[in-house]
Amino acid sequence: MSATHTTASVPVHMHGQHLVLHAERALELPSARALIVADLHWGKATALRALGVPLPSGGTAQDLQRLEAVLARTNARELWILGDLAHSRHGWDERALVPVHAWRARWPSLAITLVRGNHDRHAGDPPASLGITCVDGPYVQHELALTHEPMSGGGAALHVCGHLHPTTRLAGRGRDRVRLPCFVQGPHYLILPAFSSFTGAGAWVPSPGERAFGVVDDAIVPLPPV
Amino acid sequence: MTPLERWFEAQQWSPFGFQREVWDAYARGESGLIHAATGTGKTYAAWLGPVREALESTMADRIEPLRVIWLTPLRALAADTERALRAPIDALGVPWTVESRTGDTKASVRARQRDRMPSALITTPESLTLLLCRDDHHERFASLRAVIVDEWHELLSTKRGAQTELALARLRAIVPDVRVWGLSATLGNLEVARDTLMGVTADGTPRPGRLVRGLVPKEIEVESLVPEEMDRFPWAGHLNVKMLPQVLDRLAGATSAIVFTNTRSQCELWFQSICAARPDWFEFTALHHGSLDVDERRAVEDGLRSGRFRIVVATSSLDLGVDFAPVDLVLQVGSPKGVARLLQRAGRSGHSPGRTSRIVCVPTHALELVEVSAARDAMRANAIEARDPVDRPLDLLVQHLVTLALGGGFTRESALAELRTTRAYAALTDEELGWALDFTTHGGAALAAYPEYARLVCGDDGVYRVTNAQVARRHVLNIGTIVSDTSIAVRWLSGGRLGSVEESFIARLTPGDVFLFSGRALEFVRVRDLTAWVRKAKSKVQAIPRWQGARMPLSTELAAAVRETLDAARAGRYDTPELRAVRPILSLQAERSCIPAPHELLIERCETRDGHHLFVYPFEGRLVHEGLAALFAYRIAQIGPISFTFACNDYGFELLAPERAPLEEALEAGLLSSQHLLHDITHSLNAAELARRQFREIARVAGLVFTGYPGQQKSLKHVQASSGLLYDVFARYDPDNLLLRQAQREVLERQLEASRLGRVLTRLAGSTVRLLNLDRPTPLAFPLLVDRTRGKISTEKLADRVRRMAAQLERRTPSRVRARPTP
Repeated sequence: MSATHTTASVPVHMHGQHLVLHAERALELPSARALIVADLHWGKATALRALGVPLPSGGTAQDLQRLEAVLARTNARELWILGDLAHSRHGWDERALVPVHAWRARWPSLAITLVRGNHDRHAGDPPASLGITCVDGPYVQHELALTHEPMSGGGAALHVCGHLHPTTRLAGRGRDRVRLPCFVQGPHYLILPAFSSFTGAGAWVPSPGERAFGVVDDAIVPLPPV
Repeated sequence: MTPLERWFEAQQWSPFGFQREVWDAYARGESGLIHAATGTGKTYAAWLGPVREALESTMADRIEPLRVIWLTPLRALAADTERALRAPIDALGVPWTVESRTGDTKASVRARQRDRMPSALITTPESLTLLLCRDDHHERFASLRAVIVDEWHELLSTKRGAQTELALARLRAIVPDVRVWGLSATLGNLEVARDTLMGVTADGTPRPGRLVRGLVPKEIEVESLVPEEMDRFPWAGHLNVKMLPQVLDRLAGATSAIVFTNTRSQCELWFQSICAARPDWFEFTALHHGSLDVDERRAVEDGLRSGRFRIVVATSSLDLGVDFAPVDLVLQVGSPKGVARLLQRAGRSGHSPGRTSRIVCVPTHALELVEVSAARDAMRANAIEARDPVDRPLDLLVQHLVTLALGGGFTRESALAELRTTRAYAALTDEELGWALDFTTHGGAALAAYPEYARLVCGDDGVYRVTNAQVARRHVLNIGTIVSDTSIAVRWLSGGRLGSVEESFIARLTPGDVFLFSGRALEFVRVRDLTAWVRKAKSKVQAIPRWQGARMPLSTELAAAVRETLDAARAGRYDTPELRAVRPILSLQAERSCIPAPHELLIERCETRDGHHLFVYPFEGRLVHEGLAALFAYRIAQIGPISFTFACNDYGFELLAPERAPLEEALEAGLLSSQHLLHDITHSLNAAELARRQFREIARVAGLVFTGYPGQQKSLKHVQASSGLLYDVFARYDPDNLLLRQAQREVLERQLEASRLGRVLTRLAGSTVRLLNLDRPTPLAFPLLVDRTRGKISTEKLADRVRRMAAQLERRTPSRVRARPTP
């Protein structure tokens, strides 16, 4: 049974590339020892607090733990972030940065590249102390075109992006229904789920030729093609 | 003869005894509550006391400062109220100005009022609260003599009622002897309604208030249109117009008529259907509901008064208020769902003395005939619903503290003293206030002082104030306790405004789709700037907007009446026209399953393509069923991992599972036991996410989610988080947050009526369970079966549920080439 089989990671072969989807909402490119994530939205809670919404803290720390787990499991040397690293300029507030600096100190040799997204343009680049290289997309690496927003072309056969925060709905017997964040595999592209757990459903609408891989707890559930 | 009596005589009226009683009591400085049927002179009973006082005490050449605040629950009523209040003022030459101030009031008028208040201000609880946010509101209200709260029964059992109480407490603090009079329809608990309005003195006793009974309700006749062919009549669903021919017959014989509907969708549908069937009636037929543009609504109200419109299809937007001329005929589409509502709507007809009010009910599905029959019995037995006031809503408290802070600031002591003069917060503890203050100053215990978050700042003088202009701006726009989806304006491409619909409806449309709104078929062109642009449609209608809003549940009183009516049917007593008409359906129920006797609990079990169904019929009303469904699901799921979805209506509930539920085992293990009830119900609420749903309202009222600035061009998505997401964050990182507990308490107390749930369980535990296995659903089961609004509860791991769904999906997918075969 293919669909009932769930694991923490699922290999995908596309255009001669070997990629691995991880339930931590990250994509691995083993040949480059690189990990790809999108839409971290650091400081979203801080931004809301600044507007008078009394949000408790802890979300960013939780997200960072998940990031550490998958970095450790894949033993990645590179981290490519496909945009919206910071939700707003509040992402770079001193207080918001405390857990981030602690995390960075534990991964000193990790090379991090940020492909700027729409939020990053408002938030500004991360402080130099984080050692993150910032570029505008498309950022082409190992035959992959990396961008924040979906686009056509991009200078490589395979295109990887974020921005859409894709989620998929599942329905079953007994009128059971759930909505899960998901990876989307298209004919020549991959869309990543939002890495941040403090985001809602995005704007992705399935179209023919696409296939979703739902993320549930610590497993990936491949779903039949649209 | 006094000038007032001369004016009455000129109108060819003579004052009623209860009106004189109120005027005299007012002159003595008393406050009170007047209850009477709609259209029996309540307005002038309350209004002419202050007017008489003005006649006796003022100089004719000086415009008087603010003397009276007239609170109305619906801003749509303001215009009519203004007209009614002006009539005696103008005729008697009282030097008063009368003006409205609501969300509909023009900015220029509001600006003028900022400099000079009218002598009598007609406003809503929200707009009044906004005035209290101004730091000079003390001076503005210093000359006030009276506050009159219209339609108090509408506000009483809601957070808007509590908001009104808070505003009254503020006004009493400024003018201690201000007189407060309420106007109410008849209720089952009038003393409570009065005491709530009067507030509480410093020592905790209710302030005195007079209860004045107005005119005795007239004779009311309740009649039903009965379907000719019962076997073709639907068993469920409220959006059908099967009864249209009979409705047209009745309308043809009337000079003026109101067709009341229960929802805005029904309203649009019936208006369209009537006009399609009788195009010649189009010019004197109109529709009226709360989402239409205010000018359009006013034109309809004026048209009804002047006789330009003979037929108006309306929702509860026409339930309230103003004494427009009574109509010949009142039709009620669907069940009235409550005795008070039935009386109120019937009261719209036949006002002249000695005439009978008559209401004709139009069923939209078979079982509504049972409800109408039961409603008539309950009405005759005078079983009118009580409405209980709200107790200490902390979300509103959080909102009100910001209001007080903006309105000049407060100290902890002064706030506590003032809050405790309301009935809603009379029992507020110092700890609860302390929590609310912490929450507004630094976010509470779990938020270790975030400098960027501070709605209130406490100065060295112990006074709480708002120092952040953005916080102030957001608060002012967020005031109120009415929760709705983001609404999208509907406008012609040429520019004219039609009204508003909810964003979620527009989101489902694609350009070119045709939908019914404002009585017109509209083609959707595009959405831009929070506006849906439309043009006149050439093709046929495809969709009717559905507005969010709770479906009206059957009142407790009517639910009890329904049980008695069904018992009569079981015993073979079909002695009303409605019961005789619905007899074939009830016979079919008896034949396929049974009509349970009062000491029996009927459970029907059957399997369909959807899964395994359990239908349970306590006949206790939707709210209790929601709690029972969650409790049943929770208790059954304790036996082994299982997932349920559930649907509820006024008669019972359905539990649906992918596998057969171990019902017998659960009954054995105490499914109906009232032991550990509080524990089980609390856990089932969380499991069923009922509290998470309730949190939507609380988050909005407490200012955690922000609905946006008016006329905002761009979406505020980047600074918004859904209340569900917020609930999850709180539940995870700040589980002791009192707003979470409030959500739980609100569900327990108000939604589920926990104490009633206990009584119901005791009743059910003593009853005989009749478990019947069926091969197809019964007439009672059918409405539940097709209900798409479902709750859910599960003790399975999410991953397991997802795996099962994915496997099913795989089976259903035709054997297309799969992306990649796996071993």
